[in-house]
Amino acid sequence: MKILTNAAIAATAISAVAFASLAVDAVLAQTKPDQSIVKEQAPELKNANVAIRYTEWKYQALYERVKKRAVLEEISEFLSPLKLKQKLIFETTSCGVENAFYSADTNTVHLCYEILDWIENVAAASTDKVKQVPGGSPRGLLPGITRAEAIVGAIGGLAMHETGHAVFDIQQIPRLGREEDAADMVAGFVMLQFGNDVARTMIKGTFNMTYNWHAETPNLNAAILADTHSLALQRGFSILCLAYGKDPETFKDLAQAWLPPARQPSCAREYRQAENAFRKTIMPDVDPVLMKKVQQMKILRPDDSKL
Amino acid sequence: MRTFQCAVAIAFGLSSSLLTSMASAQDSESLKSLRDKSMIKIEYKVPTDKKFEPIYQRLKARAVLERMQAFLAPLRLPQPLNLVTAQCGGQLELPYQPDAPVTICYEYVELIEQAAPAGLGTVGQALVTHDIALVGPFVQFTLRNVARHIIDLLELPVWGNVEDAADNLAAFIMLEVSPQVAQKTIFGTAYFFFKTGQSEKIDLAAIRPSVAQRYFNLLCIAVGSDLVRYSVFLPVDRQAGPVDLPKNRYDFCLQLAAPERSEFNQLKNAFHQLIRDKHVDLALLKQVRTIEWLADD
Repeated sequence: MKILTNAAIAATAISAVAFASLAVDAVLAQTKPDQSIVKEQAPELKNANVAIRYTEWKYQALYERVKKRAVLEEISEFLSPLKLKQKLIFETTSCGVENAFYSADTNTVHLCYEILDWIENVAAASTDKVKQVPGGSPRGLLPGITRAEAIVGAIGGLAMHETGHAVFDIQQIPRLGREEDAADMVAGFVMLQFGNDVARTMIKGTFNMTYNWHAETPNLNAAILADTHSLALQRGFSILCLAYGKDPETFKDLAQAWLPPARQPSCAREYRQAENAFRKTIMPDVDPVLMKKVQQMKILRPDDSKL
Repeated sequence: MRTFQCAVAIAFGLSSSLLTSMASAQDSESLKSLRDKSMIKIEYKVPTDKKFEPIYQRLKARAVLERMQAFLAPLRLPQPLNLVTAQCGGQLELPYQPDAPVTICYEYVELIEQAAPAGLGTVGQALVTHDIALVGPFVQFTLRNVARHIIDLLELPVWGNVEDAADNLAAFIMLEVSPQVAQKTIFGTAYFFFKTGQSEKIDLAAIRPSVAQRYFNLLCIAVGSDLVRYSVFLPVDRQAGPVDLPKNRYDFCLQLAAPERSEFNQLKNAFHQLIRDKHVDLALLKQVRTIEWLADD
């Protein structure tokens, strides 16, 4: 349990860090957040347009750990450089399904306890301890990925993906590609804007998560092919490709292990595409001074690395 | 005026009724005027393999590229864009290179011809004629490859898969020209995608999505554009078939409670913001819109 606490916190923190690039200028943050649900933040990294809430239901233990670790507070800090045009709410909640999603109606990112539980007990568990899906690839930790990386990276990746949806919606950013792939690209790009340790943890954890989704869906049917999301492994390969495209040396081992050679030559171009999109559509609303501060924050804590 | 469809259809050696669908004198003048202002440069490359000679000759004789050149005249680009037909060494299409011409491979045209029904065909409950099955995928292929190059030429910010973005732009243009053009190109492309997707071995690592995914993406944008016209692809009050857009997707495509969030409307918004408002000559666009592209045969 403690493992998830620390890991989840760190993961979310990382995701927030990633969103350093997206932060908020206090001058434009005109909507005063609801003080009943917003925790105190470091003054210099406060985003008045980000509100948070921990909803308690049936995942009491998870609720306690996530709250104690102040996961949402860290996300808020990491979003501090972004000049959001409307209030954005983050909540941890029980959804009845393993999911995380953004509701445009309420400008709310929902991180469901069910998906956190799935990450802890399936994606980040040893394969011999996970009930396998008939006909599917083995679920559980991929070789070369630690449990801590799987938890931290997956939760951070999820948080960043959903924040990507929120940023698209609230900032009215045009998307020529598909919405879900676009959110994946935001998440992948942002997780690469920090140190190598953070980036590798995030990339590994996110790829492990997508691989586990792939393992759970051995049969491709029309509903899966038509889904708003790309296929799980397509998503994993795209994230890996972004990382390899940005820094082939740092991610060479991961690319050799998991990214098919035929995809690798286009990765540098794919990263440049994300960089161009970020510079033109998101960066204009980012406070560069606050962004630097967020980028310098310590993301992976000693306790997290021992998970 | 029969312009583009006529050109394409004739290029494929189609019926004499199509041969009569030539542009009026007035449209011919408009086409010439547009071509003169277009930043698209065209060339038909001679195939080395004799089996492609008939395709080459038909495309050239019917001035397919000239019509595409006119159609794309409103685009304002930082430099000319070359559009060519060529033999591609047995490949259906050439790997994307930003500095290379937009290439329509004779091999791909051959595949379109092979996939087309001899007479009437169907994709689900939609009837597709031989002509439509040729015209639709040809137009889609050309527009999506032009779009892929334009994304780089204009340094457009693209969030998401750039291959999807190119497909999306092609679909949007097809849907926006006119209802007639939309229906023919969407149904024709859907037929082609569905048929060729059946035998596809999906490569999960490829940057380009599978043909099956592209098929559903196309339908999603189409139903978001015009629910009634493309309702044949929605399994409402009936058993869903393999050609239908599944409910888990079409709810997102339609966004009935908030249509502005439909994939089509999001794409329309992006197109206007990133392309139409900055890189399109609106006077020439108006001129293009006066021409009856792909007129009924």
